[in-house]
Amino acid sequence: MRQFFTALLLMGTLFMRGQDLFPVNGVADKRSGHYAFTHAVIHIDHQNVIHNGTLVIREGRVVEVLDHSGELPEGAAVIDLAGRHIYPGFIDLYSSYGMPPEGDKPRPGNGQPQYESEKRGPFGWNEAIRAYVKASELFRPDEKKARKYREAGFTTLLVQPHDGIVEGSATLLDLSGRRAEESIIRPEAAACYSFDKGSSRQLTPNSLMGSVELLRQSFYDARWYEQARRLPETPFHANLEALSGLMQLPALFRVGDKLSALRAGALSREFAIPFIIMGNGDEYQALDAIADLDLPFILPLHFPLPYELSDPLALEYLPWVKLKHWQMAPYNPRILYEKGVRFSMTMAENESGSDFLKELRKVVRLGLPDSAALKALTYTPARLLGMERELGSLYAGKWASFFISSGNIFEDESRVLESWSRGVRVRVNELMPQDLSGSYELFFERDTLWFDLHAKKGRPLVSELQPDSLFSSMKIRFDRDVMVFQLEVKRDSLQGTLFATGSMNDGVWQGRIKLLNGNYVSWRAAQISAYETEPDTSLTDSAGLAAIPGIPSFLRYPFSPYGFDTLPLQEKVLIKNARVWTNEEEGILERADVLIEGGIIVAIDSGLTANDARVIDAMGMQLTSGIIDEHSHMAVSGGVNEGTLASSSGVRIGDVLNSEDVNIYRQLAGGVTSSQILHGSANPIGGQSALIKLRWGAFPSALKFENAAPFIKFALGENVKQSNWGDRFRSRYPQSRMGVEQFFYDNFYRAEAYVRAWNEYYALSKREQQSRVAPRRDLRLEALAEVLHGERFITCHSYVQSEINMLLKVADSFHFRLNTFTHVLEGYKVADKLKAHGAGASTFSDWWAYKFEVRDAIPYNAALLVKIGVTTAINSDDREMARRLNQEAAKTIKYGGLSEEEAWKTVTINPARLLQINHRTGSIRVGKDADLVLWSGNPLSIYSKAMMTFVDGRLLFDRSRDAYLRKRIQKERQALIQEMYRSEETQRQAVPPYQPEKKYHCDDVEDYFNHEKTEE
Amino acid sequence: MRNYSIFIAILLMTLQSAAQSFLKPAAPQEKPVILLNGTIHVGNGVVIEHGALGFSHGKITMIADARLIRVNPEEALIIDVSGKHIYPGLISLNSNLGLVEISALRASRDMRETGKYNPEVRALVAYNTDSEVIPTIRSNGILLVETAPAGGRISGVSSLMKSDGWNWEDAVYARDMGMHLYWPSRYEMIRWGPEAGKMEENKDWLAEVDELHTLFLDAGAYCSTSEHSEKNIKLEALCPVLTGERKVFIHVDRAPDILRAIDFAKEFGLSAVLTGAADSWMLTDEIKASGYPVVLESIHRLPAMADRDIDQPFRTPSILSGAGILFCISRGGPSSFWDQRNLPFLAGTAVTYGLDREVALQAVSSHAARIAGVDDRTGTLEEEKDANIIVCDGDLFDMKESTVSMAFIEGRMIDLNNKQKMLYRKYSEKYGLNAAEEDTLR
Repeated sequence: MRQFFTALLLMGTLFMRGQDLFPVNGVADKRSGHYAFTHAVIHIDHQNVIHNGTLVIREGRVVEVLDHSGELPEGAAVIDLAGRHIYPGFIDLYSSYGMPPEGDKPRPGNGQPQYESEKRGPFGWNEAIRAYVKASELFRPDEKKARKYREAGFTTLLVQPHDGIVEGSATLLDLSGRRAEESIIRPEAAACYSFDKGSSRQLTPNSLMGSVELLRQSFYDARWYEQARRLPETPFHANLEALSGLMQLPALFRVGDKLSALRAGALSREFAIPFIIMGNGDEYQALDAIADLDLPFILPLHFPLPYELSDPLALEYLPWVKLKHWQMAPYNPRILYEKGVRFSMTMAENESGSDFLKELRKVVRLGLPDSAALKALTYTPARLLGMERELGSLYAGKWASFFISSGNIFEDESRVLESWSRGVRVRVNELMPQDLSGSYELFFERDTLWFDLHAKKGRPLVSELQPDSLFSSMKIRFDRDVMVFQLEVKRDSLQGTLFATGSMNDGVWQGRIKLLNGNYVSWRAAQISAYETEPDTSLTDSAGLAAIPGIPSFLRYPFSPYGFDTLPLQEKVLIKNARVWTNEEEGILERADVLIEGGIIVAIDSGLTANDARVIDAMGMQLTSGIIDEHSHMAVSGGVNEGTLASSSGVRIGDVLNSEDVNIYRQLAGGVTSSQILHGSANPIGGQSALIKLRWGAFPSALKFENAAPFIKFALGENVKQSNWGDRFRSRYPQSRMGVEQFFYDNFYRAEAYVRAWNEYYALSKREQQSRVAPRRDLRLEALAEVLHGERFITCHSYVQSEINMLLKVADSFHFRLNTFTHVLEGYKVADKLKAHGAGASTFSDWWAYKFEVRDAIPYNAALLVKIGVTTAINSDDREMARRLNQEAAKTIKYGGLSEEEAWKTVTINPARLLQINHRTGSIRVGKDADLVLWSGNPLSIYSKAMMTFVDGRLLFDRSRDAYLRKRIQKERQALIQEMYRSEETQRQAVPPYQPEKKYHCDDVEDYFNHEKTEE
Repeated sequence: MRNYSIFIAILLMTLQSAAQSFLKPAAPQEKPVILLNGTIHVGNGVVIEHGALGFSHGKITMIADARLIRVNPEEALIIDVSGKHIYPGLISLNSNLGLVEISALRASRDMRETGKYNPEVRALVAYNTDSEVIPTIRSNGILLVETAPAGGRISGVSSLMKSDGWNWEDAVYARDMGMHLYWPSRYEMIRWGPEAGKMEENKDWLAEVDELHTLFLDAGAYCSTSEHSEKNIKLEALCPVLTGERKVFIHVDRAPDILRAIDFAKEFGLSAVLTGAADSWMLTDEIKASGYPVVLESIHRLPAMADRDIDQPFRTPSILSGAGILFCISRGGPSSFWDQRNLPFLAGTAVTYGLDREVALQAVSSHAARIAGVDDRTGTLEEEKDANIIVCDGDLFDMKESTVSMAFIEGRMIDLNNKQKMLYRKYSEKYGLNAAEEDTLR
């Protein structure tokens, strides 16, 4: 029935008050646009409905809504809607309608790394900051796309440039199809941000955390610029000027998943900008944290299709998260609604208007109330733009933006017939067969026959043709407003087909039919009864009320097959009869009891009792404090290296923690309880670390180790001089170890100057301060200033002795202590110097031979360093090896002959000291955090397994529970696959190839956005 | 005293070689040796406490209960190894030892030839006996190593090498033993372009299988006659593969690919070895039925997906063992030169996750020998076999006590020193630390 999807456009309608901005060719044609829509079901807003009412509009505005269709205002054209529905036009806050088609795909490059912006003009250093872009200027009406929106009931769109981290301003426009000047309602209606650098090929940022930093710095710069622009020495900066304007507007933030929504939430708090978050449809997966944001969302209504279920082996590679999301995605709006999250909805990801309506109806069928759905499409988006007095309902004075539908828009067969955007009419759909279903009586010549007309998949179908002795079959087709039919004659000797055409007039079809003899006669068909739509009994309870379907259980902490249904509590636990490795002077207690309560170790003794405690008899088992991994890159979203510029000290791993990384759970199973998540080593000055506890089930912000000393990653050697990056990377300073030294000196001198500038400013009186412009806040120099003040500590990636020695001298000359050298494979050659300086070491047990600078690495390194008295840890730098750190520690016995206790300390108290958390964890002592691991045997033995792992006294890994989870995962997968197989959805999507997890090492440099790996 | 003297002899040898900066390959065995009173792990499941192991002219001549025999110190060098464990020398398949010195340095990489089909190239001739990596491998007890070309579709021919020798001719143990084939996977990691790092359906997958199929058909035709107008060394290199006399190691990981690879190997009657085989645990019935053995690649890896059992790779050996599949454990992958020294610990992890200890030993010795086709010569400590033997102070598989103190290849006592031990001693001296003599010997 494609031919029914026709739209009649009234182009260039001008209302009387319109100004003559365009020269008129011909005579002026101004009209009042005065209409009365009678006999309508009018949904004035999402809550109020008037039956058999009249909507009066004039000059694009609502004049009034009458609760009758009797006395009508004079001078209005009357349109009888005969029971059809009028809804306030839907508003879509997230659209690329009418925007340039090239979008945000990266521009083709020349293969060379691009360090600087190629955008000409006074727009600053980074191409991804596009505050100067205005959607209002890019907008070109696009009739084809407009039709798609009108079919779904939309009359108003907020369109965005969709390119860059600061995208520029969005424009609010109507779907009247008039020229751009007339369509735009509010040219700069909202500011738009994202974490995606879009078409920019400039290297920076190449990571999610780099995007966060760039945005933060840009916001600070814009605020500074507001003040500083009045100074003659301040350079002109069109981008910052535009950005400071944008920061006054409602703001949209486009994110890739729910964790990035939380990241946008953090920015919202920092800059007091209440972002409207363009979500991803997976918000239910982090429901509590999403609700706590207290920010409005825009939700896509595009749900995953079921997968093709054929090869059971292929299905083994389809992850639970995907299966579960298929099941849950349509419930997402309802779940958020019930949790009190404000949201609007967008059809951005739907292919057609009918696709959108189909998904919308699915959402309502699954329990989102009609009124909530309507609100999300009308009032809420209007309100979010501060336009609720203009749009979103049909009260007097509002814009006359609405649509007429054949029935209740939430019912399957209803369709949008007409779309009115600010008083401009656009026909959307013809009447469809389903609107014409019923029993008909047909007359022509001397014959009378009866037939039933149905709609099947949008096509008309004739049944119950009577008398069937005369006519064998009838086929009907609608061609726009014309009905044509063919009638097969079966009368005695006569056989053949009669062809007929006709149209509707006053509710009666009439036309001409060509008889077998070639003559035309007229025919007439009238509906004698219409079909009642059969109520859907499946969703109706015994009382006849629609039953609200239940929501499948979905809460997981975190959203992972191994997630908890509810977070474990901090129990009071008494572990009895264990062999306890205290890491304290007491050494190893052969048979002792340890009591934990409130997340703390409260007693260590033998023969302890506690009535109300859960008692674990650990006879034959060994208890240790949790393993601490000084060097980890797990649990990170969007790359571990902002390795583009030589310094990225402003980026923070803490901004991009991924609390759903199953490696957190796997490492708990290896006895790890804390990890330092480090930036990579692609540049001499890297990013700020995050110290986390492995609180499986917590949201990202709660993973962070409270009040931990802040750290930053530095790096030396082949990685920072780009030795193994390929021939394209030969221009960034430094390219030699000589340059690395000077790079540090330069940065620290600049940090000193930065500190001086602020100190001078702070030394001024309050009044003087107000008359001056404060120095610009620089996130990079700020971090280095903290290093100089001994408030931030360095973990430095290093290999050869010369560079280690060099950095010690740099630190000495600025009078700070270099906290930790990590890798430090030639540390044994300068162990005495490390010791004298007070630096610690964190190293691999036995890695070598992978690059030139590790040719003198020896597995005896850790043991030698320990013997010299350097605080030494064994780390993983590898999410797999991290779960065997106990074994890596044991290698220091084999290589270098450390005692068992010394060996054990290299993965517990020593890294705790390096990370300055030894007052909280790293040993078993009363008062310390209950971060404990119960091992099946000697923790240093390869044959031992962690049986239970406690973090803050919560039992987060328990091998017996793990056995249960494995079975549960299999059961759930099986149930979901069965449900998917029975799904009525006929369309299916192919099972995608499984995606192995990204395994970040500190050498991995890739462009998170352009996905161009620079090193294998 | 006699025991002491042998220690001193080793020490002198070590110091001498250290002074030369080069380690000297061991000379042929001249005098019979008897290792007395150790716990002998034969490598076939049998353990003999208080054992006596004698070998002469490079061959094992006696394995017995030490309490039941009498030894004559005049006729043999008697070494008391009380409290120690004696194992067959470990065998590591699927490596690139000797073909690469430093991964990141192109000039030091010889494991990959350009192009897709290189059945003609041989790892043997590029095996660098002077690699600084090799001594660090054998000092952990790995005495025989299959060194293999990598990459492409057919990467070439491997050889089993001794980890001690003057040159490759001297070091070779099984010449040109296996062809290495990387099975075209239905899904491939996209390395470049806008979707890099993502697994995508390999559009050419079937074409690549066909191409391989055609190559084997053509080779079959070529090998069926000796009359050739022109010699084709690619096809010729496949002749021993098609007759089944040369093993073909098929690198394949995912379950659907494994099934395809088995079908292919059956069609051509290949003597196939499923290599890598990460998901072999899903297909134990099919693999068992095929009769093909498995070379597992490092089990110290993460499960393929979050849904999998967290210890899945650790448990794979015990699953294969339970199913009665012949398998061995290898390190494999790009780090499989230096990181082979952790081979014993791969076996140890398998034990922790359900594999019988002696079976784990077989998985790094006798089963590897069977898969390599050298089980008539080595892999177990049985009479007549080559005296490829290691002595470990504790449990070989547990790093906290795994200290290999003696090793013999064909009866020759191998120098267990290496560059890393020398550096350790050098810096211990610098700091006035007493790096225990025993440490330096390990």
